[in-house]
Amino acid sequence: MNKLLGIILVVLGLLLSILPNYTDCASHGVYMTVMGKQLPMVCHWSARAEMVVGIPLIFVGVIMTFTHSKTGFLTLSVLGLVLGVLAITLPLYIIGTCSGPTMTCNTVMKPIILWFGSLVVLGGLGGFFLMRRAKS
Amino acid sequence: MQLIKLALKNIRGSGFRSVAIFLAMMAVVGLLMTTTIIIRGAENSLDSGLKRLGADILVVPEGAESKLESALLMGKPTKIWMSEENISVVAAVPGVESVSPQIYLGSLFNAHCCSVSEMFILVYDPGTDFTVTPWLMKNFGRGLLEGEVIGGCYVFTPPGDQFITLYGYDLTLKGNLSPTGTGLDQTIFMTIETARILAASSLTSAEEPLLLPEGQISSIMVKVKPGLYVHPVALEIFERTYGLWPIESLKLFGSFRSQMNGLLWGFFALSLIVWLVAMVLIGIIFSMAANERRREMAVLRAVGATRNYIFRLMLTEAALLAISGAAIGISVSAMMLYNFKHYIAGSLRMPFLFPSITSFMGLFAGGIALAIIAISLAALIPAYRISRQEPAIAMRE
Repeated sequence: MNKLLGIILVVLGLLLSILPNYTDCASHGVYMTVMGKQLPMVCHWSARAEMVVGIPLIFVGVIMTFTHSKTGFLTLSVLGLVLGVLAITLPLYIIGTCSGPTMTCNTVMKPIILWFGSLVVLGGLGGFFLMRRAKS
Repeated sequence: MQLIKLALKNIRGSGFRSVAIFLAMMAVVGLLMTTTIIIRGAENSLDSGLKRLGADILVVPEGAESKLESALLMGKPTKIWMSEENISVVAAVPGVESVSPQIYLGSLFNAHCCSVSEMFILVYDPGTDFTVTPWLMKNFGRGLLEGEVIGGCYVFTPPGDQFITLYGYDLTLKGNLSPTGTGLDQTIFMTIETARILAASSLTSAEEPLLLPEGQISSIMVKVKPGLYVHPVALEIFERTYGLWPIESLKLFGSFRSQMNGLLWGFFALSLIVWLVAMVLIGIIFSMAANERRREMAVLRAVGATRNYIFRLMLTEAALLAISGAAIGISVSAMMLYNFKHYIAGSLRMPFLFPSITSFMGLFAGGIALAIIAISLAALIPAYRISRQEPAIAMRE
């Protein structure tokens, strides 16, 4: 089970690090409106911030694959859970996305992050409770 | 209860087979639900859009029907013009209770004077309107003042600004209408007075002036007298006017509906075929499982289980797998559709409004019931055969 959950977290970490950067609104962090005003494109920074969550998650997954200690596995599961929650809250509350509901960041990027983040949370929870019930 | 406990133990005992059946149910029911929700969502959206318009008949110049449909469906600006003298002609048709003119305009594409690009603008006469005025009276207790607009649910003031600027003129967004899933969600509604001020201001402050031809309108919204059928009134309008085309609201989006129906029902038919194939395969799996478990069932018979008990045990296992697989499949497909609804509507280029909670719960229950019936049918013959076997013969083999 260690190996399977570890591999899943590695894959999810990779997806969370890479995909948001290709699904944010077409910008380089700043958007020039037709009125000539510069506006910060928040979704771009949410996508960049997901890398800060995704990369540690990859390491958590790798270590989890090779760990044999029950305590170690439990700790890594909790860490995975926390990273999953962070991944979800970044585009929802902490940084956010653009205001237009039909913009790419809201139609594609945010749902992708919510889905993968939720899977990370479920993986962390599942690993924690299953390992607690298992014998050492 | 004992039956369910034993069924659960048997499911856990045959892990791979149970997981395979569970995943098959999840995928098949999820696929069927996805197509059903998309079909219902598209129908909901068109119905909401028609309710928003509030009219029984829309009268437009002959040949402009498809332009009107694409403007209302996709929110793309369009130019349709006819003389406002037609208002009194249509109002005089027997069976017509009230009429209200509308003018269709659009913001400029990628211009410095417009903070929203290529937005559909719907101008109405506040004295006769029955499209947005009821909503305004309910929510604000008054109509729109000069310089005020309301928008569909996707219209918003650009971040950092206080106003929506159109043709160099600042407009206050008073509120947003509830979603319809159609182009009306990307439409700005304003009064004729505001439109005239906008047109006058655009001569000096816009990249291109806003043309509001005197004595011209785009369409006439018609309400039919209560108790009368709409079709005969529409025919009367056609016969008594020249160069106009009355569109009954139920037939609005007709060409789009038939294209959409063809596409969506095609998806549905494919899903049903996948469903049937999956049921046949599940039946084969149950048959193979029943063959493997002959000795196990014979032991149960030997310790006192009746034939009926064995039969119900097999069907209970099938039902539990059906319920769990279907529940997860429907939930996952609904959540994915809800999260990606804008992307799906944009990609398929069709309106989509997620069904209400009550409607969804009905679909959920229907999906579960269908899954139980289908998998029970698949497991019926193997369950019957294994319950009828002679225990002594089965134990010897």
